[in-house]
Amino acid sequence: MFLKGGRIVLVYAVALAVGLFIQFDKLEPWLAAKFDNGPSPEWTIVFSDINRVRTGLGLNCAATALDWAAAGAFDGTYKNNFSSGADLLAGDVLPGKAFAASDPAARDEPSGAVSVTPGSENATLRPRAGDASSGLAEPLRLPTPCTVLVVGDSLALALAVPMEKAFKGIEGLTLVSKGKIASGLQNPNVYKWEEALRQFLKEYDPKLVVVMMGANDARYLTLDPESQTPVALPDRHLNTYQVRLEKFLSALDEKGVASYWIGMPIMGDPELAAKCQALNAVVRQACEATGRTRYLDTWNLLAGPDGGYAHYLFNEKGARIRVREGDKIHFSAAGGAIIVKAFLKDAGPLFGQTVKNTKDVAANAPTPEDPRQP
Amino acid sequence: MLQTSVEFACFFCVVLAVCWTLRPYRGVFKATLLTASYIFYASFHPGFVLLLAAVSLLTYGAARMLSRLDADRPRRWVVAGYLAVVLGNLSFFKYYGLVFDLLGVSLERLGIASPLPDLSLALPVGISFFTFQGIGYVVDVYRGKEKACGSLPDVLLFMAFFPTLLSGPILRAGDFLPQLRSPKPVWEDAQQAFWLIIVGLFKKITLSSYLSEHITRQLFSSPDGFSSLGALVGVFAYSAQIYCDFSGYSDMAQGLAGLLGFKAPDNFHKPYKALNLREFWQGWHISLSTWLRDYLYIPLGGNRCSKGRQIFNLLATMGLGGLWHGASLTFLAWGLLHGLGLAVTHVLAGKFTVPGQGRPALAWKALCWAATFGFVSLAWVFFASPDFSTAWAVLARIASCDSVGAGPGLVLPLMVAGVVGLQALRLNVLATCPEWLRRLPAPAMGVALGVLGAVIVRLGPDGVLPFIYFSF
Repeated sequence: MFLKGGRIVLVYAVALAVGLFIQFDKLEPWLAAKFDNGPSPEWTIVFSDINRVRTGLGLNCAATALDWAAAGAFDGTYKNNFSSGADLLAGDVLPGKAFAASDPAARDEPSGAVSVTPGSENATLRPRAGDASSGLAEPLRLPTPCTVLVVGDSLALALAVPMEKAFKGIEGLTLVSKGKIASGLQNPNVYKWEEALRQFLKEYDPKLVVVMMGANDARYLTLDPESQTPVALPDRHLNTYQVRLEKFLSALDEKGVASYWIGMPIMGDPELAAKCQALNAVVRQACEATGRTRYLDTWNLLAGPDGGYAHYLFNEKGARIRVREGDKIHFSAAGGAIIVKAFLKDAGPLFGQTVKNTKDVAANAPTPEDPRQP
Repeated sequence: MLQTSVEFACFFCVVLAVCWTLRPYRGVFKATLLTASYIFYASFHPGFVLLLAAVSLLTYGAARMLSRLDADRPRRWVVAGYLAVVLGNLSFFKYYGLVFDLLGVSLERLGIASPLPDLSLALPVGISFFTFQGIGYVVDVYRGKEKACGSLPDVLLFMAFFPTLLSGPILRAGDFLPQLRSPKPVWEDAQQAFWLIIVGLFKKITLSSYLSEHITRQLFSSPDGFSSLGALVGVFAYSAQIYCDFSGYSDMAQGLAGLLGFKAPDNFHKPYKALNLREFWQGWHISLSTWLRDYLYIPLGGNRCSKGRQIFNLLATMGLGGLWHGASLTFLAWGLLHGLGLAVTHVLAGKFTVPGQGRPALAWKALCWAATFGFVSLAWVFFASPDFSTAWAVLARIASCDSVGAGPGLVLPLMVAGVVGLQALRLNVLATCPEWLRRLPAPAMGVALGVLGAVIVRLGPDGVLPFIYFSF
């Protein structure tokens, strides 16, 4: 016998309610983010009541058990299960605990002036004399063989492809790409980057970490209408972002690993572009404050000659290349090659040699100083 | 508002309740459904709504004009004019970038600046699907197969019906418009509709996302990091992934339409059980393959012509079908490969003495299946790759017999074997709603479905990826 009218609606509504209730631990942060200033007291009571019922029914335990049981089948950034695995994943890398022992030099150095003896296990960055443009750190040579970890959102995933090609020209470098689409620091319900980063640092023991993310975070910012240049207003979202950014960078700091934060290039949508520019400034400031993570400005690398957004650029041979994807946010492989070229130019001393294949990788890339547009 | 999102699940709950309440009042019911469809479409980009409305109005107007004209010549002009406008619109949004690229490169070689401005257009979601629906309707009216619908809301709803709007199945006016006039729901098996939604979620969220994030996305962006075996399994994994992704979407679309009382056409029927390419296309994206057959292949002459012309018709139909998927020459290559394969299938048909029974027959079938699946998977390499150099790199990795690089592991081959093997062995797993679920009273069924749905979502990635066909 088939269901009809009201019964169909009843089954659907019950199924939806049960499904949302079971998934409430994943849903709660998403719901909370819908409130501009956090959930009101009434909603907070509702949320805690639901959680109490879930705990009473054993659902929280069951959900955690299922996450744990399935975790072995999933790789890398697939699941956001780091909260449930906090003991395993972050146990010995808590602030001030683990890497202080393995890298005593790093602990003894004053903030912003951390160095490492050449040939020691972990290469780090040192302030670069007279360099006011970016992270104030001078790269020392990486030990080889070593792993380079690329983390971030879809921009990092796009960046990892030309970077991997470039690394083929450098003996002993292995690139591990751990990007998560649609993620950022503002959205821990999509992905908990700080915990994930600690896990990856432990799992892969990289000697260099390259970070690129922010387009998903920039959307949360509110810009100061009075300012001539894009500046984020110090609201709840900015504060949250800054706290999470600091924690993220401190994970790199504690590990004592050399790191680069690749800034976002110019965006096609004017509103998003302004927000990304404001976010870049926040990240740059935070990187400079750590003294260990070097910030690489890429804003103008993919811009046209007028400094505005460009979908196409001309390379050195005069051939036009498409540097951006249709969404005007992501960059194409050729656009990625331009950014990698700039990265390798800046980080050259870190690799301690001339990178053989960079010419091949970025052969079609216009030089940052000479971007030409149709 | 993706169909797999919480927002959509809540939106659909409201629509379902309102629609079933208003079902006895057909005018209001259809108006509600139409409003819901436009709200859904506007959630992607409010500006796209105008485009959908314009194409729908044009479709209605062209069909009405055809119904009022008797002479063949003006009727042809109406159809030609309609096709020029809607296909021009589709081409503008979909292929302008490709033409801009190709023309720009060609002219630059001659030292001439490209005359086309760089527009960097955003592609309206679902445009390929609703454009083809409109063309099918107008051509059917022109051919006399369908009567022009006098009700503007019916045509608007036919073009914008939200369960199928984004990625099909491509509706036929002859199937859908009568359902709007029917006082009773055409689809009555609500349990099966619920089951289709659950199966669709499982295919998309659990299987397709896993395959995408554990091998295929990496393989088709950076193939050099894979061993030969890893790349080979990755290609087969893409065959499984695209099936799970698109058939999962189609199952969900059919289920959602079914809960509203409408029947959306079948879009997949075990394509990987096929023993030749003709069988494959009888089971893969059926609403598109039959559309291409009826509105392109047969008008070109079909197979009632010389062998040479038939081969041309197949290549033209499949080549255009390939380009329909996206503005990239890799899609054209994928379509042409299938056209070539179908041409070879037609030419070789009946040329071999096929063993009738016993082990030789079984071995022959196994050989045919392996050849067909292998060819289809090979063609997917061009479909999945962003450019030809990546496609060649993937194929080169497979051919290199190099064991250095990422391997397939154990879970992936098992998953691929499960998805493909169940079809090849013609096992009807998950096809129909199980009896235990049917027997449950309504509230218990709701609880069971809710638990199933939650477990499926729990096993998927955090942050579900969009459907592959959304970009077409």
